[in-house]
Amino acid sequence: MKRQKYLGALFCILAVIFWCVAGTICPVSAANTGGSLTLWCVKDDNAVSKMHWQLYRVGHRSEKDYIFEDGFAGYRATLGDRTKPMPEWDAETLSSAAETLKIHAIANELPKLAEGITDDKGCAVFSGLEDGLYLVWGDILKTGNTTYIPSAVFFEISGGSDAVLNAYPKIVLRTLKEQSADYSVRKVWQNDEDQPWDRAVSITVERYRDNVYYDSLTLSEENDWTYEWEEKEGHEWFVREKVIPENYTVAYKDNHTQYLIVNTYSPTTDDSSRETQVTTATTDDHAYDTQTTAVTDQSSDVMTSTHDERSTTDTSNTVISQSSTEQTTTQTVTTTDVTSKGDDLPQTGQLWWPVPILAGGGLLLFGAGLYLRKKKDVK
Amino acid sequence: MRTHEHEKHAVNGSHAAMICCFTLGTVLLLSALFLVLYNLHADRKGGEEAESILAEMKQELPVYIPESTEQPTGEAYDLYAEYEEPTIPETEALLIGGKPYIGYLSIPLLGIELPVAADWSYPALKTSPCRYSGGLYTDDLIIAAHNYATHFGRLRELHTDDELIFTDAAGKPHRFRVTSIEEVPGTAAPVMQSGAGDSWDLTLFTCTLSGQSRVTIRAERAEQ
Repeated sequence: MKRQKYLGALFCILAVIFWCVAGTICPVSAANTGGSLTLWCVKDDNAVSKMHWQLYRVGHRSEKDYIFEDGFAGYRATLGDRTKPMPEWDAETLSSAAETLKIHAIANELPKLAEGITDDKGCAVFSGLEDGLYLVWGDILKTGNTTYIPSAVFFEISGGSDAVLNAYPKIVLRTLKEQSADYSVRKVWQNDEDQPWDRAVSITVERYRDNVYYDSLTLSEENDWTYEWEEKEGHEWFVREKVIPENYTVAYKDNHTQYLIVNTYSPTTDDSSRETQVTTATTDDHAYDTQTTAVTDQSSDVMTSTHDERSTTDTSNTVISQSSTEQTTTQTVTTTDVTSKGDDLPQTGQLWWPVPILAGGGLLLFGAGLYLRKKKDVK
Repeated sequence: MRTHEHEKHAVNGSHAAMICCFTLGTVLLLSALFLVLYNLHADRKGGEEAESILAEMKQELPVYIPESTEQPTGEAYDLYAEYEEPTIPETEALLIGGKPYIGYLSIPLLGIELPVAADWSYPALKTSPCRYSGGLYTDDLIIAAHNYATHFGRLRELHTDDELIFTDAAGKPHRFRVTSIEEVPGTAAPVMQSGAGDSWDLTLFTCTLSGQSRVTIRAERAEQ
């Protein structure tokens, strides 16, 4: 009996030691079932530790679409081809989508699913993730005059507990200077050259400093859709379009001094009302061969996924319509009928057509003259 | 006596008609000949003038050095550059003889090279092809030219996939591939301009012999 107590105590001690050792490998967040994401924060071969990351569930993917849920439902972020999995998108689109979703999450103070801090190896693990779409982004880490700015990562867990993803967020290292810097925000319209009348006359842009709302400004034709300001370095900014114009999606890009808002024309169809859907999904699992996919960007995130099984999802949708309380003013542009007549092209032809007529007529008359002469001679 | 007079009148009338036929016929034949000679002269003159302008243009054109395709590294690059309204080098046209030209067009299959004037007018068309509308960097450039044999008169001989090269005023060559050859009615300018950037990037047109329609060559950008 006494020996059993010793064994039990020894087992507990070993378990504690094992737990401590395991904990030093990588700090783990969330539950232990489901898929997992391991973040590796490394800059120039140096691990970036103590970087704080937060995880959000964004939605899920059906066979033909990306369906956002809860706080992300209805958000019209510019994505890649919605019928294809993320690894098939180009790196810039994927990166831009992640940053755009991050801005939405911060501005709307959406609830986090989990948090984590990178360890000495620059590693943080989020496990127990159900199949679906996720966003993870990290806080800027300041060490003296140096700041580490991590990129957000938008990823998909597919395949339940077999889904093990490794992500290598791009980390930009900046050294702060004493002098002030010039900042600017610009808004551009994209893919709407044929429908410019759908453009808003003006848009309201919110500025955020260090993830906190700072102020609002208006961009329009009058200021060439651009606003500039000067500020001492040391703060991190982002901008957000307060209301995304109807029939457009939005993407945000920045290089830490220039902030770009890209509105891409994407008219709403019955199919695209998907963004205002809240969905209940049923899942049928189908076995797939083991596969490894990788997205590589020369300067951006690298994500690898390894799993033995992948699930496809049959989705039945429950549509809840949403209406925006804020209206965007649109301008009316009259268009001309492109098939209208009266627009003549320049005459680029030489005057050749009279030649056969003149020559033919001349020959006929000459022939007639000869005939009359012959007739006269006969008489 | 009356019959004799009647015959005399008939002979005189017939004689007058004969003279009239000969005169009118000669006039018409000479007109046709004059028109042919005039057209041939205009054709030859247009070709010579274009050739002269092209020779001068080639001397004026800067040597084109291809831009580096390397991605920006290190410090932040200009994020807005990609979305700037294209600065259109072709508007920095070369002045040849006091007139602006946006570059020159080469059609290797036809063995012709022609300068392209910045704006079209009927006098300008007599000298060289002209930009009818659009721009090179917005992929909607339309070039019009007379159907002189030395200008666009042989456009019909082109086929799909034939190469066109437009060298802009900065000396940069832009390669295109012919995608279609069609006829557009002379009264349908909007049709000529429709589909720019989507189904074609460059259009060339000239009149058919009747002058009623325009032989139209559509081309897309090819790998540089």
